Amino acid sequence: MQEIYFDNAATTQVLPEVADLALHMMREEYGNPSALYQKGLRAERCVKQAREQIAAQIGAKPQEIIFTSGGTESNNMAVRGVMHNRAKRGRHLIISSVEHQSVMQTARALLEEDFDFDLLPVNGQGVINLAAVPKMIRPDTVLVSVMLVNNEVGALQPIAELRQAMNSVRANLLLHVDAVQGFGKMPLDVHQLGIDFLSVSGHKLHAPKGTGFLYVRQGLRVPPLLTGGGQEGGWRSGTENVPGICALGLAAQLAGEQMQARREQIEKVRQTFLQGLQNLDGWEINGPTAEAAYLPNILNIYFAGVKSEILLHLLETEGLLVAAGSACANNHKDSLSHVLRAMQLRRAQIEGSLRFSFSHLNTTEEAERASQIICQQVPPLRETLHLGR
Amino acid sequence: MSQLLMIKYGELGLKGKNKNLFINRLVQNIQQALNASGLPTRQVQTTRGRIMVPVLEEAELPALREHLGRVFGIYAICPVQRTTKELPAIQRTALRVLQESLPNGGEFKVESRRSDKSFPLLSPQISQAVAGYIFDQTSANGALYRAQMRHPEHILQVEVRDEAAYVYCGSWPGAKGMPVGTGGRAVVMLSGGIDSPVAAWLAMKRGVTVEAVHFESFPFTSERAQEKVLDLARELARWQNGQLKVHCIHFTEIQKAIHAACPEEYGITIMRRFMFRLAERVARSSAGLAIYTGESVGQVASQTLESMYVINEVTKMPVLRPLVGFDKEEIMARAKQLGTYETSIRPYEDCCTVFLPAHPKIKPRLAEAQAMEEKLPIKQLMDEALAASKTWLATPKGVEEI
Repeated sequence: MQEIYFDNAATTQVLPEVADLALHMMREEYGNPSALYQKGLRAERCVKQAREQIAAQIGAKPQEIIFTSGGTESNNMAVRGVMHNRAKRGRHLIISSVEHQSVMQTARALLEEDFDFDLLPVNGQGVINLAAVPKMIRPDTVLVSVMLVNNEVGALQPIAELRQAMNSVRANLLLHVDAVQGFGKMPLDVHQLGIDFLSVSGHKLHAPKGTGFLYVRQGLRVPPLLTGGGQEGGWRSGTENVPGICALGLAAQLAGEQMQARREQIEKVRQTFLQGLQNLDGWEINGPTAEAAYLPNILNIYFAGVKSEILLHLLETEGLLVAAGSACANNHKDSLSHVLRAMQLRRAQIEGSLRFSFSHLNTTEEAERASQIICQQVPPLRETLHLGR
Repeated sequence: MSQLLMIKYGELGLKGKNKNLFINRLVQNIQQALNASGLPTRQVQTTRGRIMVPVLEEAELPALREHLGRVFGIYAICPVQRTTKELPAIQRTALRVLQESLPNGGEFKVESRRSDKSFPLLSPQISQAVAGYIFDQTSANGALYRAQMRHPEHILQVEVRDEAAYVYCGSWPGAKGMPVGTGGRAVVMLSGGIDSPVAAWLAMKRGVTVEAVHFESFPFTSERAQEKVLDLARELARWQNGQLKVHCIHFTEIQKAIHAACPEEYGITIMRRFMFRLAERVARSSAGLAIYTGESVGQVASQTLESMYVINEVTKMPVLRPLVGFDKEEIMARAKQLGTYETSIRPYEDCCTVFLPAHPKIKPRLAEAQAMEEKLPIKQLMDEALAASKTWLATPKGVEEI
């Protein structure tokens, strides 16, 4: 059975040339970048090249890029770091109510240290309420953290407008953007958007897991989470993950070069998939439907009358791999997606929602077959669940 | 002088003619535990009703204690020093054993036994000579060791036997119970919850060889639920000579049929009736004579006496419920002790909430359940479920499908 991988927002397949580079770095150029001999210097040069490749993708300077282990570390480093560093100036943080758990839980953990945070509400499509921003900013607000693309529904957040709204209140507010889902998939310029910190993860972009970076605007500082040998300019100690960093650099560069072609492919896959679903009734898209408001890579659909986890397993038996917004086994409110809840969706709607996330490696044939599988699996499941009720 | 572990097996002594059967099985199980322990190989020694395990080096003791501690039928494990049958050697060994087990001093008594009747001293004389030597050697640092004949805190045991003399003081508790393999065969319904692994363990403890029966309802339950059961089986296998067979029965179609044909409130009653019928079929095919479950009266709707009455009616095989009188806390404490608790509390349920009615019948009636089942092709459903089931062999190292 041919596998159809529609869970690219969870993680992606590493591209062959990216994997080849990582393997080469492990097998041949395995020197420690800090070592004084030629082999160390060669490894250092590779890391430098990756840094330049990445900086070029977001309009940053190479020295503004700090390599990390991925999105969670970058988000922790930015949010926790800024709050700690600016604690004398203020202890208040604003995050959107649809942030990833690595921001959400970091904010929660900061409560224990007498910091305070507020949740910026979203509308029914998962887009932040810009009008609420000026009202929420307090004299002691230090940082606003909002993601570029929501990982569950694909909603694009209006970052430039957010920055304007922040500036209309005060000029010295800092802005952190979790760009884990958006980086490499849409044009992104940190200066145009007024971004101070930007988090990125490699494995959402066909690079290996355990790779990522944090952009820190020149002149700003965050205290290191890890202290030690002073690698990454003292921001992040620990011997550099050279194979991972080089793989990330190449993956980022390829994403930049192929951005338009990949996007077109993904649009086609998405359209084919949605077209195929026309043969089924009783479903709707969660999240934005106006074209400029979403990233086509992520598509969240509510299927009336099903439980998402059961449907997920049924699709799995046909080779189609997707993600669910809630776990059926765990009948607690906590197991429901906090994103869909923030969008004020009904419980039954959340429990019946699946996320499909595409990459350029997916084909329209896959999309067609995936939609057929869904059209076959949903009606009998609906029948089973409703019989006897 | 060399070190040994002397295995004591209290309860087995009571079994009259069958005694040898039991001891042979216990020795086999101990040998098996040693072989599977990863320690250097060694033979269990049996002489004159004594089971001895050689200790090759001091550093092995914690590992030996752990592995032998999971062999049912062992009452206690005594670390023993073996020495030559000469009084000075016995005295020196006795002093060292006492110093090791009571480094800070204490009250003790020497007890001696002499099965080698050619040894020149009588048992009381051996005790006197050993105690006298200990007082002589230790009196310089005050009365560190004091004799206490009536209620001694510690007993220093000296045994003079044909082949050598043995000295020991104190013991580790064993798992008790009966050697696995002496109590016949049975199946245990293993759900993945906290209770059923404890029931399985209590069955093993009485010498019963069990095979587990698990009901999976993919895609209505996650494969993680089955993974959890297999992990529990690996943990339980450590108590059953390193092996536990798990029958994973494909229950989905039965669930769906019940859901479609029977009133919601009777869903669980009829589901459980199917489970017992299937467990009986598995038991019969593997020479099992009973079904063990983790039920305890009153815990949930299917465990009221009324429910048990209606559910139990489908089988004539004994249904044994070793937890029937336990409270939840007691069951949890046992689960922690035997090492299954952490796995059991993983959040994957064995039955999807879809099939759990909001208000299950607490007092179902047999006639009603039977009438509802008339709509179902019971035998066909069961045959299909069994045909689609898989059997796994769980060992502490992993699982494989068989």
